[in-house]
Amino acid sequence: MSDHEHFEAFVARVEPRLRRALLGSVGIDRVEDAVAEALAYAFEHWAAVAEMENPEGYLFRVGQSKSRRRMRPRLFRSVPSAVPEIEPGLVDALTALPESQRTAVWLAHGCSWTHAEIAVVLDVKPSTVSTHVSRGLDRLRSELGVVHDAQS
Amino acid sequence: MLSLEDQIEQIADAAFAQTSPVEWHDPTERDVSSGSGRRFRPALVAVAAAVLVVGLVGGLVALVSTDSGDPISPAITDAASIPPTSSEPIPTTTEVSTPSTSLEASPVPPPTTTTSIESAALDACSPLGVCTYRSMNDGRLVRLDSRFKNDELPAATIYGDNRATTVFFDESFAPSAAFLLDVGAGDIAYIWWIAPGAESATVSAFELTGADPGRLVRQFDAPVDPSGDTELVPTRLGFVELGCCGVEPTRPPAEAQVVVPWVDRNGAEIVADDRSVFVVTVNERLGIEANRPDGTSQSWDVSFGDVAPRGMPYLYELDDGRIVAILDGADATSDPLYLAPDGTVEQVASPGSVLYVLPDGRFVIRGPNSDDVLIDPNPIDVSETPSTTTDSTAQPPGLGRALVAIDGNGDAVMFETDDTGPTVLYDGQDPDTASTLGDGPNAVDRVAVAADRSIAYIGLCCAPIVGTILETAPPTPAAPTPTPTYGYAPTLNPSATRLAATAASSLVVTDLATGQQLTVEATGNQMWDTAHDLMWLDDATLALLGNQARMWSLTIISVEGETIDAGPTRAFARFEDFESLRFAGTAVPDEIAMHDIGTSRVLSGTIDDFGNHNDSRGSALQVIELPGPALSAWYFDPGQLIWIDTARTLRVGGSVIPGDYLWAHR
Repeated sequence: MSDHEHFEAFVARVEPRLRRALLGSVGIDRVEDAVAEALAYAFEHWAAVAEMENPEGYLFRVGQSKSRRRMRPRLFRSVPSAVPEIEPGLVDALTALPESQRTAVWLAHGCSWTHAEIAVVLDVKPSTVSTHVSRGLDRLRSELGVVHDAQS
Repeated sequence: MLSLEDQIEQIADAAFAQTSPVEWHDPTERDVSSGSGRRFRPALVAVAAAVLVVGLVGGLVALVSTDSGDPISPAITDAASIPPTSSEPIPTTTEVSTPSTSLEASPVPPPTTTTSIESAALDACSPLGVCTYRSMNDGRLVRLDSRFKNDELPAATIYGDNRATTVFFDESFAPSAAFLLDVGAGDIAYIWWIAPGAESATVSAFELTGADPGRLVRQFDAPVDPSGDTELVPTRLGFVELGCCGVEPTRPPAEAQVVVPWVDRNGAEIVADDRSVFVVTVNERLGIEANRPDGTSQSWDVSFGDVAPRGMPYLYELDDGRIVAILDGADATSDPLYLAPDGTVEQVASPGSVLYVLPDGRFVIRGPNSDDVLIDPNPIDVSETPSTTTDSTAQPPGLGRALVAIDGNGDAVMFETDDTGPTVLYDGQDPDTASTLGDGPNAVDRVAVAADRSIAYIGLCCAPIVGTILETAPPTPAAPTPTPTYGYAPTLNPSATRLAATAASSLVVTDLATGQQLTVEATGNQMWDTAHDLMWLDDATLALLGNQARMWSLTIISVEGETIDAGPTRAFARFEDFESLRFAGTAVPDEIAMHDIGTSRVLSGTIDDFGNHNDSRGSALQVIELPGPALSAWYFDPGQLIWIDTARTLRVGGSVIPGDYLWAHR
């Protein structure tokens, strides 16, 4: 398999996961640019990226840092009408979280990343990720007036 | 009801479904030698630029968004139809100087002299975008990036008077891609744009100058072909559509209907009787006819090689009456032709891939690294240049808080407006050699100027003892005084009624109208040992950053009438992100921002967020990444950033201020 074929296989595997992760960080308006930037970086530094244990995490940081963000990210181009059982204010409250909390909550519960994986991209300890997630969820509950969650 | 965690997953699923995969294409599978953003041909330009930019940046990778909702991206499948670009960015017979810090036209030698090129790099266009250029009524260059990745709002940039000014457009303008068609009377910009998911393009007119730059003047109803096969060509009455691809011998055809009229600032239709318009006729040779505002016409007859231009040639009228023509047919040269009023035609070597020609004769070319460059190729004699027109309706920009800075020479400077050059308020010592301790005066450390520019304070750090504060009335420079006021970090409140400064463990707030001073002493209550920085949050509230051994302290201080109260104080450890902090304005509403000097990190949070920061328990502080490591960073309304990188380049929003700087605030 040539380097190009390796890279194409890598993109096929990583791109959806990266796009979903960056979506919560940079918003839908910039996510494709951020992914493109990250993949371009990966191509340029393929020898190093290919050796990484967690290239998605590294490329998440590349995409995040190359997409300057100053406004609250927008998650939807158009708000879908068919998302069942969502608290009406949850999307707004989620995007209004401080960035570290929003990223941790999004990656943990929106993308099913482990706290260890999130710790890599946030450059903090896993225990700090737990704190971010916990505080983020507490803040969401407070904003939404949610006292008890139903358990799925 | 689902748990909160499951609801977040549902949101992620739904949002993810609205994104499109980003595909990677092997760059070796496509010819990347062609491409130009010169002319508004949307589809061509967008794809060509993506290929060109990525290709030139090292042939690394061609990344093309395949958002099927964007009709621009997939429109071109035939690389051969992309307008050609010169393969010789700069002729070998010319010398390229180091980039000039001036964007003004330089004195011009006689027409035969082509020995040097003055160049000035323009801001880089967004990676997958392309920049279109036109000129304002006063001759300044205006640029629009087709994509708005780095700005939160779509904006144009106006270059002139050594300054670049950013004009943010009306909030209703939310394109996925946009191109500058032209700038008409009254500095009205006509912009072709397409909304995300739209199937047709739109043209809108915006003010670029006046009391409300960026205001939408009119959005035109007629849908415009978004395919890239149609050009919009200016005529006296407005823009007409010119279809692809060289089938019309007369361009634009006499019977062509106006699809976008010229308008005034009220949106009313007008006739463009102040500009030359062009008609070309394609036969064995190319006839170029210029119809001038005074009612006269002049024609030139030129050869176009084997293949005629695809659409309208690129035609630019200079201030001296000559026309610069770039034929740019499928195999035609891109060497500029100068069509003189005496009927002669002179062809000169191309200085590169020409994107635009200004009325004063300067070119915007695509630089060797795909960055656009403004050059003065010097073959043009403009010694008898008629005076340029000035828009009488333009209003001086409203005064806001002045941009103040310390330049690389250590001088305190202010900018009357962001468009004007710096005014030196104090001739400071070179910071590379000046001592900050010992007998003063020392290096400039702070500058504060009232919003009406009537008074300025310059802080010299830090001797005797706490530093020296000088006062002056701009533009008069301050001079050292035999009886100086001592203090550190002089800071004016927004209305310039109060001056705050620190003196070791005390904070002094002076009422500038009465001279009354209010003091808070830190000693004894352990709020801080040494005051490090000050920032007014509003006219009556101060934030003070202090040192306490290995801790920082953040204190909120309120001033009311003759009362000053030190409010809550929060201490946080001085390590990792918090090694060398300074206030950085307000990046997030109701939060305090601090920059860790020398890094790309700005921390934002409430006073409690700072107080609660503890690395082992996590932090509610938001970390905002600057575009790179910075010597200085400052956020001001409406959330724009002033920052200075480690190469001492000062940027205000997306604009670069020429010169080198160490510190800047507003």
